[in-house]
Amino acid sequence: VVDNDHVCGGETLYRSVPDQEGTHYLPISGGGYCVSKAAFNDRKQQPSVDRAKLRNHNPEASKRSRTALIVSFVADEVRNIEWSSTIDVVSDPNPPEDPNNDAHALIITEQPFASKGEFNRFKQALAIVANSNWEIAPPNPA
Amino acid sequence: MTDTLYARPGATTNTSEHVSSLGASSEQNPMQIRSFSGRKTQRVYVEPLAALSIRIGKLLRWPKEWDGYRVAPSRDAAEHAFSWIKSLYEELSTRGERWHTPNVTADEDGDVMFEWWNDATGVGLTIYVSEESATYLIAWGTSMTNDMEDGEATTPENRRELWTRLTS
Repeated sequence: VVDNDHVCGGETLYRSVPDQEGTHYLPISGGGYCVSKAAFNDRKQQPSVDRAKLRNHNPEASKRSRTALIVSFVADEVRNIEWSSTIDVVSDPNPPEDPNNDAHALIITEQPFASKGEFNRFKQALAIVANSNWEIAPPNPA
Repeated sequence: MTDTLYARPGATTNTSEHVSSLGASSEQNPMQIRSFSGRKTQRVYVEPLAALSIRIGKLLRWPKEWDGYRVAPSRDAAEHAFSWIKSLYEELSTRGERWHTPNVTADEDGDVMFEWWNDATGVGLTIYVSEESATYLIAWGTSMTNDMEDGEATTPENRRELWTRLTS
């Protein structure tokens, strides 16, 4: 029996990134692109991801728009981000804003962020974790 | 839009744009613009401050309401952001230091963000500019407690110290 409610430590997660060079990703000198922390902007401070295994490991299925890009990372990489509060990835299938998405999950924290600065740090950590792990890369590599 | 934000290409300065490790986009400052035919685009060189003005101005065309990824900054925040980056550019120019073009974006609150990433050292610097404040986040790892620092970025001394930490 597979428990689809629990996000396992080794699960790959997809994050959809708008295809906007210079705002959501930036070129790096060795070629390629790194993702901006702006790709993890979230009003609720709980960035959405898709669980790859529930997308049949098809990142195309996680694109939020026709031209969107996808970065990936592993659930435990997120959980291992060092902070004073526990960070987790939890299943959140079929939310109101994405009602047909069984793979939807949220990156959450046990304690809410005490300040905007703390959430900025969180997005920075996520951007580093996701850095260069493009499943669907920008169309014109630098 | 004010003249302050949409600055015209200014006089040439000693500030070079050519760098080795702070992102390929820094080597020049190409902007995608439409050719006269209206069908093709071509990369053209644009003076750094003019390019920054255009890129900040483009943020104002983002959605006025949060769309899940982005929301437009206020005009005041955009103008403050241009003023901030113009100050940095001019301070570097005065000291004869190299310029590195930042990523220009905005966060979920509509604060304008300038981002630099030093590939060689793994140091990232982000400046957040709202209508009334300018703050920084500098990071060199994923630990939110040990690998990051934030604070005010309002004075020339702040800018100088942050630039040194980014580029050294």
